[in-house]
Amino acid sequence: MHVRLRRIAASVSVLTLATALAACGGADDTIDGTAISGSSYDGPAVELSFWNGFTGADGAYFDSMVEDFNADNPNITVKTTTMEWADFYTKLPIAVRSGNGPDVAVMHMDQVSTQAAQGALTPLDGVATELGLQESDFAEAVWAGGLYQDARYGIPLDVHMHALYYNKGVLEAAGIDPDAPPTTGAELEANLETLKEQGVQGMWIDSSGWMRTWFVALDAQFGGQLYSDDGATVTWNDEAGVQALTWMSDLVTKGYSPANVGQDGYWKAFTTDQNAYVIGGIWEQSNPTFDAIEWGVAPLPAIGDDDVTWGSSHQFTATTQVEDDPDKLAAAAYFINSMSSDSIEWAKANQVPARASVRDSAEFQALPGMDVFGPLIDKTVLPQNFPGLPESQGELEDAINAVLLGEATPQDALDEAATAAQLIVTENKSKFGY
Amino acid sequence: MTTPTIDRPGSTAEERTRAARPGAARRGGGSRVVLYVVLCGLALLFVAPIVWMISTSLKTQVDATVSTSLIPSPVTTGSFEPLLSWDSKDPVLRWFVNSVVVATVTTALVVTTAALAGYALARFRFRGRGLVFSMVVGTLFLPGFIFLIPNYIIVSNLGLLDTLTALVLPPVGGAFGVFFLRQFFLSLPDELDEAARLDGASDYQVFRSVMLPLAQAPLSTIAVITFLASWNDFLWPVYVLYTKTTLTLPAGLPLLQGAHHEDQPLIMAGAVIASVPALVVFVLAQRKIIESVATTGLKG
Amino acid sequence: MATSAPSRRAAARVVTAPVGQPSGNRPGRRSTPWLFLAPYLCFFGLFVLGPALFGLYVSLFDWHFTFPNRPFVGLDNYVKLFTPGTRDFEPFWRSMGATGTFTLLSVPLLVTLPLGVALLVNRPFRGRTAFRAIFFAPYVLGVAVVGVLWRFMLDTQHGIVNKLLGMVGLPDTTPWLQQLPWAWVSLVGATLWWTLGFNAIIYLAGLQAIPRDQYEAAELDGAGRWAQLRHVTLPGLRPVIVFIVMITVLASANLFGQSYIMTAGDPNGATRSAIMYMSETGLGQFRMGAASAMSYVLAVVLMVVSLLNFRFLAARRDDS
Repeated sequence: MHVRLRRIAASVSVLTLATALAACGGADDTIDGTAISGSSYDGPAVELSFWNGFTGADGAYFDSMVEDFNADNPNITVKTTTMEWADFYTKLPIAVRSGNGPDVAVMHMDQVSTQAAQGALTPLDGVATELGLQESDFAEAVWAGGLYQDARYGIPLDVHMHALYYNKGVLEAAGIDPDAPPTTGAELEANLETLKEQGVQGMWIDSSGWMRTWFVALDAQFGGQLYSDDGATVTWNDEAGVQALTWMSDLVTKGYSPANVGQDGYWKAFTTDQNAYVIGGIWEQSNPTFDAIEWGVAPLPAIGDDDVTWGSSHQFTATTQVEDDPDKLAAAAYFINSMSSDSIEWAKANQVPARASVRDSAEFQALPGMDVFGPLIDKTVLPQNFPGLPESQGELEDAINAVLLGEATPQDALDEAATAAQLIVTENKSKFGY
Repeated sequence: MTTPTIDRPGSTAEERTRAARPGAARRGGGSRVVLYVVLCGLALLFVAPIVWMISTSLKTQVDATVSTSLIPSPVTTGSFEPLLSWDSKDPVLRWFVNSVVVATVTTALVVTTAALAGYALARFRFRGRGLVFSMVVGTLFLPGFIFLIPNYIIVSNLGLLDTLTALVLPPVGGAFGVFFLRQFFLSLPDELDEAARLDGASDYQVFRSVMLPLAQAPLSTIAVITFLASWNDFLWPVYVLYTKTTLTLPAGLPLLQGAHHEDQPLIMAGAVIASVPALVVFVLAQRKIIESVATTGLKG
Repeated sequence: MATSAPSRRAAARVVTAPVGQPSGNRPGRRSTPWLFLAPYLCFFGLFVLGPALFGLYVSLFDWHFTFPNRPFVGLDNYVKLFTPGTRDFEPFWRSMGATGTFTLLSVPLLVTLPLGVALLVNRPFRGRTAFRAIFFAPYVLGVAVVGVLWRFMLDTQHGIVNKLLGMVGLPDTTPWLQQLPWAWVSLVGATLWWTLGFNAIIYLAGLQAIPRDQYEAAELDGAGRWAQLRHVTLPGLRPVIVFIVMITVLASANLFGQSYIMTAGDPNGATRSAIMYMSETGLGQFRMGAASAMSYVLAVVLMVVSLLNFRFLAARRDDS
């Protein structure tokens, strides 16, 4: 199950687009014979339906940005619909198909190609040009994430990633310096051992599907990835994968976590001073339950060979609903352009732009937490982007579940899951054609 | 399992009329105490979770996670506030209204169409009646899940996805109400409508003025079980609805849980909003509701 | 209930001969009955009869809802469900197994315990109506509330159930929702809590329909309580028991909400029910041809089970 995907909804994310882009004027670009003007909209009044999955605190940010946009552009009315991500991806292609879906939507980068392949999205190469988007400005994977069959469907909005949250109160009580977060797996384990001696289980882990994101980070740290580069072969059962999952299940077997933690039990424990370390996303910084504790956040320690982390990117898309209506298409392009360029609001909401020049500015560096998350952009492993690939990840989640519950060894569980997932990947590869 | 303990036939008038049978009579006080103890123990199992739900909804988040006490300290209604606003991000109140609307409209449609159809099948002789009736009865035995995929396609093609209409219409095709009401109309003596007809009443007038008034009990039975079924429906709304403002309670509550994992009081507050009005209505109308369920069980 | 005894008999008669000759036949204008039937038949055709056939049709195609190209594949969707090594074979039958497990665990309890409760309440005493209402109350909450509520109460580390168990000195780390067999205990337990009252109410009505003179006759014959239960109550309840078994099997085979909310199919897919897998396939991944085929396979299995049930219960009738 992908319940925890919804957590990303709460993401107060790292912006990848710079502030200064809005000024770029330029000629209209033409797609499918339709003029897209990303820089302005002069057509008749239109209403745009806009979907996102920001159900958390950042949803309010989006809403206020949309309100500002509506106020500034009387001939465009944007109506926002917010829903949980897991529903979002299921409902979007259906809704678009029946004509009551969104005109514009924000989605995760690994869904862009899947949705495009199902005919839900319309290409936005013109908008990309308009925005002056260049590959060199972005992490390669973020850039590629918006592409499907060489056409651009997604305009990158942000990158979000995992880091290590720590409960200062719990650490201090155990005599561990709360202001010196571990940078290696060995340091982390030493602290966990200290905590254990004091009767504290210091790094809880549950067995929910969300643990997939921990696995992806650790797998990458050990040098692995979920699928081969061409997206055709499942590779999570290689040595790196086994090392990653073994490390996760060791948290339980070594006594750093209770067994059988209920879903999200590690957060409940963290926010009630029972748990010291949690791997969590950048968006947790605005988690209201953190108010009750003293906490800090640091990059993931290098548990494997490299201190990389899991992440993803939100991207703006326009759906095929706007294709038949040149005005709507133009308005959608303008809306996307404005939203992604108008990052003054985003700046206030804890964002770190991907562009080095903006990231270096004092204004951004002053924002809380960004000294940690900003540099992580270069350490973030983004999802591989092939249509239909997300369907196979449920198998991985089942394997992680089985291992963390002590039902199977990492190698056996990952092998079994890889076999089952390979059937799905092979079928989807031919069905979606990549 | 406990076998029925024995005690005297009811002494009050009410008890005498409702006197229960199995081995009614004989021993006294001791077994009555046992009976009450067993029943109260059972009742506690049934009531305690509901009490816990209400208690948790009035707690703070830390209190709910740490304390086992049923008494919230401090008591706060903070968890309810974000749910009761009409334009809330989690408009539970709206979901409640949607659920009521859907169940009410569904019930009205089912009762109306089933009464008309049941009446026709029971009291007219016409070519094709046997065929229609056997098709209707035949579908009684089809499990509901085989309609899931095709109905989804149909509803989508009608442009009804993500509308409350999509929840209201499909149940109206259900066969049970027609079957049940046909059996009832069949049981009424012929003389009734013959008399009315001699007075010059039309077919519709006979139905409206003679038959329907007699059918109040079975109609309300169908109404109650239709309402309950609609209120409880889960799978269909989960997949058919998606906009926050169109959700019904069953579709919305799991989302509330998904969006606020650690916030027990908030989710329990949602559950309280979803259940307390239903419980109040149930307490007020419990005799009627329970009788309706019982009746369909006996005759279904 | 106000329904008269004759109507009940009429009902019974027609159940055994569904297309029998009803009374009150009256030739009216030819179109009149059709006018009465028309509103219902529209809905029936569009949402019941049509879909039943349309679903079969869909199951013969590689019907991906969002792909315009939907090639005809004949019986391929069915064949694949019975071919090891295909994408759906293992998870589908695993989910069928999960539904079967749930049915086997829950039906005996949901048939016997409500009968016990009905017998307890089927006697005159003060507060009887209140108890009856209390046992029925969880049913009106609906599966969403029930699932969300029990999920929180059964949380391993933070749930009230384990905390209470710990307070009285019992093990307090039972993984109610994470591990087998506990996940099944929890799902069946929550289902019992939710629907026990529903079945009990039907039993209660059945009990009250047993003619009193049968008990009096048995008493004259010197039958004790136990003998009365065996020789009067249970035989008198037989049709009700058959009905309860049928609807409970059907309800259990429809297992969805409880595991969707409480366990999300965990551990490792062990509580992912057939309906969950089917709806995820059809409405989550849009592989509607495969999902339709699954629904018909499940329906056939269910009908076979129902027939066996009926046979078994009918055979037992001959014994008595």
